[in-house]
Amino acid sequence: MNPVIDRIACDGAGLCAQALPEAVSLDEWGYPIVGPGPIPERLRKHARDVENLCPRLAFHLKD
Amino acid sequence: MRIMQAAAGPDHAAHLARNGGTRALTLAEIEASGLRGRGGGWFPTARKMAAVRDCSTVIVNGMEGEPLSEKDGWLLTHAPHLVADGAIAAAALLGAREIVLAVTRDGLHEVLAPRGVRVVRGPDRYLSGQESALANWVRGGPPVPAATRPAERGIFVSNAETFAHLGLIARYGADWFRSTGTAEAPGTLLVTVGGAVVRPGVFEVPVGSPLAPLIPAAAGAVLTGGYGGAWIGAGRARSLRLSPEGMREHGAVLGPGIVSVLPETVSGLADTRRIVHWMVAQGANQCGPCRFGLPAVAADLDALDSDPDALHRLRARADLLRGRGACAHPDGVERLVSSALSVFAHELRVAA
Repeated sequence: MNPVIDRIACDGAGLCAQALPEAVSLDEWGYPIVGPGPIPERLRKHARDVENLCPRLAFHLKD
Repeated sequence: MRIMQAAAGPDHAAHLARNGGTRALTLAEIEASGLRGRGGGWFPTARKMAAVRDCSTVIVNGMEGEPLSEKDGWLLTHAPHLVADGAIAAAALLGAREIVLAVTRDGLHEVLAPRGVRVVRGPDRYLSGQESALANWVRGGPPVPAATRPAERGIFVSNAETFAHLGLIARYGADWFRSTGTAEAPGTLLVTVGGAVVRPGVFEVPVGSPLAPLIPAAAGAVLTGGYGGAWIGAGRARSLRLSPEGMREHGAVLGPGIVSVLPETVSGLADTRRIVHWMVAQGANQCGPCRFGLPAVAADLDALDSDPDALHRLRARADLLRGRGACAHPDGVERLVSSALSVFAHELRVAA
């Protein structure tokens, strides 16, 4: 399971990185950097909640 | 060479007299031919066609937004009916009811409207030829890259040269097509050779041909693949073969077949700065990492001579351009910049 960001929809609110720091960090302008590696097993359920957190619905999960 | 031999100009009767008629194409035959797209991505054409959902439209991409490329312009001037043949065969096999040719100049409507091709004139911007941007624009939206791929909208887009090869496969078959080129990338390709060369222009060579004969013996560094491609040093350039994998293995880019020699009197870093600033201006401004990252990389490039921290900052910022936009624009800039820092390392001055 890996995060996939809709880069056009994303406007750098940063909630994804806040909620899932193990899998997402932010660049100097506040845009998500994904990885490295897939989302750990123990965080998968939580990751699904993060999909609903993004105000632009730009955060998706792909297996 | 194949396309150039078949080229008969804008008159359809002359085209038919030279080449005869076509027969119908099947997806299996296109797959057997091993044809890969000639717009820069080298993606297998049959696979791309198979991915289109309920195809309604075939778009021939003649936009040629890459400033160093001339091959599609050449093709549409000298062999427009071969391109149309391929597009018509593709539309028939996909069940598409509409064929659109997108270009940035006039004069093709008269030639191709009688063949059932709708010729549209698109905006003369780099990203307008990006396939999802083009599909978006043809459908009445803005000419900027979209999150949805054309295939998901029932649109098959491919480069004009790809359709030209289809026009030939529809006459001579898959085995014939494979009889030249490489096993992974059969056929010929059109190459635009420019810069400090004695013979600039568009040439057709089998895929896998050596690059060296196309450039002067004393040529300097070479920009391969265009503005979003990669610099290669003079020595290594002479050992390259013009295949997608062959180029990639040596850090070069085949892309839409571009070979541009840097004049000896021009600084490679200065030329790279010029290109990067142009790429900044051509961005669609839709994706944060590109909208902010590209100007920052341009500024770092400008500051290399004056700021000792600029190089380190540049490398880190360039790294973050990869895979973080909706299209490959930032990836192209990263490739260009990274290759420049390597090939033109001798130009880097460490500020005291």
